[in-house]
Amino acid sequence: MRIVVMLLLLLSAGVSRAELTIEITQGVDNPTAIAVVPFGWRGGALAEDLAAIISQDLRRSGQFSPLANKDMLAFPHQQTDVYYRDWRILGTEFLLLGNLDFVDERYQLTFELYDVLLQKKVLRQTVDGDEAQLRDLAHFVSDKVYELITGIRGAFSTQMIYVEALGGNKLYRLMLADADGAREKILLESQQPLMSPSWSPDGKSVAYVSFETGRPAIFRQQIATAERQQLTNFRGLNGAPVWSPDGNQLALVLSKDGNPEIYTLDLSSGVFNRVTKHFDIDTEPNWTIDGKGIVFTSDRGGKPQIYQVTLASGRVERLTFEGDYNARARISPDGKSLVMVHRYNGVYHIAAQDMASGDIRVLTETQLDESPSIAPNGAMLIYATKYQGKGILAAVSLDAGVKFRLPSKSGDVREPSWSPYY
Amino acid sequence: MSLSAISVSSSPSSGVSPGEGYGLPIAISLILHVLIIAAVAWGWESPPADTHKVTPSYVEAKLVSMTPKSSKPAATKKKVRKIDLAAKKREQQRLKEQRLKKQRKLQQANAAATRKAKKLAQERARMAEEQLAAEREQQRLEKERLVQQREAENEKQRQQDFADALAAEDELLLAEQDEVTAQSYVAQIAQAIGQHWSRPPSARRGMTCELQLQLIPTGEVVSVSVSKGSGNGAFDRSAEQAVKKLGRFESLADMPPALFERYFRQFTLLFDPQDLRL
Repeated sequence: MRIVVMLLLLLSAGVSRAELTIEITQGVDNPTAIAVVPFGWRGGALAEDLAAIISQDLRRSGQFSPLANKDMLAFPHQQTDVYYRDWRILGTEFLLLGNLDFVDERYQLTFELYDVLLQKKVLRQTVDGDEAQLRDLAHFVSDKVYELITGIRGAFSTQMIYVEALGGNKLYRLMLADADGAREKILLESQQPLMSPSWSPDGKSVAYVSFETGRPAIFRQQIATAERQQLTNFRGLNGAPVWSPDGNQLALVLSKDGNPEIYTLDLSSGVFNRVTKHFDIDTEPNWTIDGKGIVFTSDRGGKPQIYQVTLASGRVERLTFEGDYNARARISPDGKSLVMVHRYNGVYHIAAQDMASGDIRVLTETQLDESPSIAPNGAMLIYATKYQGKGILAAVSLDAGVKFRLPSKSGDVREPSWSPYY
Repeated sequence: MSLSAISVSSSPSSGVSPGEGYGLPIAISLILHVLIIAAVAWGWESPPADTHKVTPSYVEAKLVSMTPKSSKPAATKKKVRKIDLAAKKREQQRLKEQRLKKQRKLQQANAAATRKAKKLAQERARMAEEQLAAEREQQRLEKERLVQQREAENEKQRQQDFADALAAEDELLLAEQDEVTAQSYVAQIAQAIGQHWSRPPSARRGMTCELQLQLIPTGEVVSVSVSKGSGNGAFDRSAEQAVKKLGRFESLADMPPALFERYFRQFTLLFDPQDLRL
């Protein structure tokens, strides 16, 4: 009896000495509340409102809810003017301050990010640029803030290329713009259709299909110099060029042998290699992340579905089984998701399929959604859709949590291609 | 509930034997009615509403298994032992009285002996003999007394030991009960933190992070530090911010101080998301 009691005592002592651990297994994922205070600037009127651009960048990502300027209690420009309690009352979790100076004919932006809840400075950096780079300065800050808070690299400084059709398909333009749709630039203008633009992995070139020779042909163009080179001139279809991850090859579709098949083109040697051999249509190729395989759309099973071919063995494997129409696949940068056009209840939507589990998430609610292109950080994708009878670009996050339309253009906008990091 | 039972039971019987009359169906329905009325009369009611706030089921399970263990056996054991002790005490008292009586008797005997010695010299030898016998008797009594004293001391020691053991057991049971109470606070804390925890999009299942918290009895958090990070700075910060956003555990303010000191002055929060899609 005594021994038992002693043992119990010892045990209880052991229990009381061990520190309590409480496990948290659930959470709520709300956008981060951030306040981007208008930056300090002693000069005259600026061409761009940097703080506003950053706020818009962050809001568009869906991960942030920036505080409106009119709700701010103060506009501090330095740490000594920051009263954490005030910002906390407003529900702000992070606070971004900045000061813009004009030094040696360049704009110099120093920005500081404060964690309001932990009451400390978590980032301070200085970046500079010329007059034309004011938006770049803002996007740079957005990238840094986004990466620090979300743990994902920002893609606000990236760009996109898309096709714009004007005057009822009388004029076609290949356009370059910032990821937020600003600073558009014409890369090419043609009376004949332009299609399927695709960025090279180094971000320096674009491959596309042009009908300017009277039939479809694939071109490569240097973005900076506008220098062009025709890559294919076969009878029939020449289409859907995409760059291999190393930038040395293009995957494309040719119908020179009767029906559309997937080929690869070695850019240095100019040698074509036929990848698929099937009497049904094989089209819309896209490289796997490791560059060892190509996913493509084929109706060899009766309906359009996504398949993957391993280049070394030629072995073909079907990837999609859900629904009667899956096409135009793109693989996310982490290789874990397949984004595609998916017909659901007779309507074309953008959907993401988990590569491992095969689970499909429909990401969009609009109709006639097509040509998805994934941001280089894998967090968002851009696609073409119809809005008020006009072709426009829209974006959706890969978890479908946020959607937005890019500013409307004058013409019909289609086939966006999001740039890589470069 | 009762309505549907009746309609189900009566419809097949009327369908099967339409010509036989309603004797059997009526009988069945009567029996069912009686059964239902009986059930209702016997207190067929919903269990009383739980006054406790939402607490995880495992906590309740532990509570159920704990209560009988903590109250009943201990109480009965104590009672049994107490009766025992009282009897022993009475026995002891009785022996003591006996001893005193014997001593008094002995003193009287001694007095008589001395009187006799003075009176009867020739009886000295007999008297000496008698005295010797008396002395022997005294020695015997003394020995007896010593034995009894030792026994009493032993008994006292045993009693003390037993009381100690009981106290220890009580303390242990109390501690276990404390733990059950603490568990219910744990559930509230976990829920409160969860409601303020906004994970970054880079958070993935399998990421875990541990925070060390220090509180004051009002429930206010006075210090938070990451004791084991996840490797993802944004994830760790989100956990830290969840605590800061909450700032104070309201539910701890009305907690017994001993319980607070024991479990909640300092504790660890383990963030281990199970509800993430990726």
